[in-house]
Amino acid sequence: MGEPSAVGRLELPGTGDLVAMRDLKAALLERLEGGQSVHLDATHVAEPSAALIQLIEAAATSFAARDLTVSLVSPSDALCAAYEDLGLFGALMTRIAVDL
Amino acid sequence: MSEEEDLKRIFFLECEELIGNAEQSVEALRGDGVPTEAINALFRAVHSVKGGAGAFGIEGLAKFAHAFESFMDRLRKGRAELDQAALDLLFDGVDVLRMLVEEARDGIRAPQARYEAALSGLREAAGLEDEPEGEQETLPVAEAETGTELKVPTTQYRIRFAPGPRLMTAGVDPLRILRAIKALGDVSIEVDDAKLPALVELDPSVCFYAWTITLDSAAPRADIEEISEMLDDLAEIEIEVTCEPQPEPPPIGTSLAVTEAPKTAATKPNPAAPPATAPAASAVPPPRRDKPVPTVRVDVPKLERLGNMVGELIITQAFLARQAASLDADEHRSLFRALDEMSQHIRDLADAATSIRAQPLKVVFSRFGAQIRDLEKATGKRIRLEVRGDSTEIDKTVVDRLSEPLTHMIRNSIDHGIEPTDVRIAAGKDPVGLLRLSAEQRGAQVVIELADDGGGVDRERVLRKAIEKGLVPADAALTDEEIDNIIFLPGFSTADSVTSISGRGVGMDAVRETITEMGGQVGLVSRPGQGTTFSLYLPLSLAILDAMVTVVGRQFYLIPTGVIVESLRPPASAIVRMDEASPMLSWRGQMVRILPLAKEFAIDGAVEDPTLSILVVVRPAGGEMLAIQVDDLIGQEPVVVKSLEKNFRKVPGLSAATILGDGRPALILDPPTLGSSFGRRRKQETTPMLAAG
Repeated sequence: MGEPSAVGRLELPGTGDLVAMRDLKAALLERLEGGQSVHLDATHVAEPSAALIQLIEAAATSFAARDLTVSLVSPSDALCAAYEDLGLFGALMTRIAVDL
Repeated sequence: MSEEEDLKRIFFLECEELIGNAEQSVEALRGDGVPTEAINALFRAVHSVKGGAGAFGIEGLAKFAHAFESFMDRLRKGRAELDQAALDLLFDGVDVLRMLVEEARDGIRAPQARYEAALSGLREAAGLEDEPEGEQETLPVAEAETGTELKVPTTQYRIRFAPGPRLMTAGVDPLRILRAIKALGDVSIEVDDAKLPALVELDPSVCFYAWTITLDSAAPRADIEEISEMLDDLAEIEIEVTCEPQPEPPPIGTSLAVTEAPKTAATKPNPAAPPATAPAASAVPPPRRDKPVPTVRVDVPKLERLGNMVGELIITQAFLARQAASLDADEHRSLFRALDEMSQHIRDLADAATSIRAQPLKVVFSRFGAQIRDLEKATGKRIRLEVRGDSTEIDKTVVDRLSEPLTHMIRNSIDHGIEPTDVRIAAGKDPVGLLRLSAEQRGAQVVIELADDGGGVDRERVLRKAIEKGLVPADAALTDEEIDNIIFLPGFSTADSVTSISGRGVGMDAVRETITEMGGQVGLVSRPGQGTTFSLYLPLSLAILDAMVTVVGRQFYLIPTGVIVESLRPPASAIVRMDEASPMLSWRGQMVRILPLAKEFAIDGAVEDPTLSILVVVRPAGGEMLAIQVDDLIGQEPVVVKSLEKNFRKVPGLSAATILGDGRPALILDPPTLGSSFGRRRKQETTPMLAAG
């Protein structure tokens, strides 16, 4: 295994609408193909959706398959609550990164 | 402890909450709003106290609560008028109710004359004069509206919710459906993610999750079906009744009690309901009611044990982090990742432990209504109390100790801050003085402010009195801020200090001492003619502190990160020596006193030259800005606070001790008193100088 790549950083959109999800998916795929773990800055997620969380979780699984990580940085209260309401609070707990 | 004693203890705990609620309700009745809800809430609280008192044979309390409840019943039925006399009766009634509970619990005898006067007043107002005193008819439950006690039988449903491929493109977020179901009762949610594809195959517009929800709800099945019908064929919803209505939960006096949960400041709050204007909201019926959250009473010692264990975990984690620091990060990626995760989990655990101990400040704030009413009578002033943020939560120990300092502050604000009515009118002010008591969480602190719109600190008189008492040299040139802070000095608090009633500084040294003991700080801003604002900065938790670890000689000192403005290694040009003993730091256009810790605590082997040291610039609330001189910075880490006073003695300049990650002990600095002791020392050594802190 060569030198580990630097961790990339993406800012999550404030609203989890479907258009934003397509853009986010493309950005995540780019990092995945580049072999780069990613920190998702979730500070400003005001209106999360099931689509957003499903995308994060699918990405986390795919990244993990390549020994890479997807971490959430400073998840907003709204995002934490959405995780909880979707029954995914346990997943959230393993996803949160130490504040950078 | 026998079972009955245990039940009685729980009843008294419940009485504290109920009487707190009653005080809030009476205070609300003073306002301009519709009184119905406050009257009903007060009725319910008194009714619950009466029920418990009767069950435990506490006759005096039961008799008094009965008269109180009967008067409330007349009020809510419109058979008595809610005028000032009625309000006075209610205020007195709640006070006496509290005294009677304390009498029954602690054996502290309630003042008989006050009890009899209040009981007589309530009986007369309730039209009970003809009823024998021992008679305590119980009102019908339905009539009593005992909303906090009436348990509605619930049904358990299992709901299977499987979104179809078109659900999200139709504008319906599954999250909203789940929240709509959650609004109907208590839920347990299991998610099925078996169909979630890899990222590359994921269509973001299709929901691949499905859910099984167990719902305990008093709502009829039709309410759930209504959600299902609105989704039409966009999703599959199967509803199954798994358990028929449950019997009522145990009544008052058992170890479990169902209460409304307060807003929690120290934990991640639940989100607001989905915005009504969102496209999908139209597909979801509005929540039917607020959902009661089950609560469990836990003995405080058990909570303290939990807190101690979390503390030990933090120390162990810090130890592991230090050990790992010497390892190669590339070779031990997994270990570092695990340490990061453990660190986050411990932080979450610490937050959870903190939130468990947290109580809303309304427990304290609600007591001030009656006190202000008494002070209005005593001073002839009219006061309006505005309370904000009383749902802010803070450690129970802090809540328990806050009452006294806040009482001092309120007394001072009313006695000497807010002017007499005629003076206010002459000054063009509202004749009714305003006291604003507010609280909010800012990071790891809770800030409580008490603001009045009075005349502000009378600096001329305060300075004159301080000079008379020898607290300040006659030729001292003090800033306005320094003069204002004189009121916190020990020895300034005397009854003849500013006015004939009590000094502006009465008890303020004790206020600062109490707040400092809790790891907090006090600040003061006063504007002549406009008023004074006191600010209390209190830690959310008394047990865990974020601190900067510094080293001086061979000793470690910790500085709370909350007061640190900047740390720097100063160039020689930034050090200004007014005289050999008083080096100053020229920093951002101002002169900041340098405090060498080595000199303050007589530490050998420390770096003496400030230009070879690190200066940590701190700004304690209400205190003097200082540049604390240390040899070096080690790093920032959360530490577990250990009481110095309990294990050793109180030391000016130090607030507590801790154990660092490597097992070595360290002392936690207390910047406000550090500044003070420094100032006093300077006063003795050289030029007389008053330290504001």
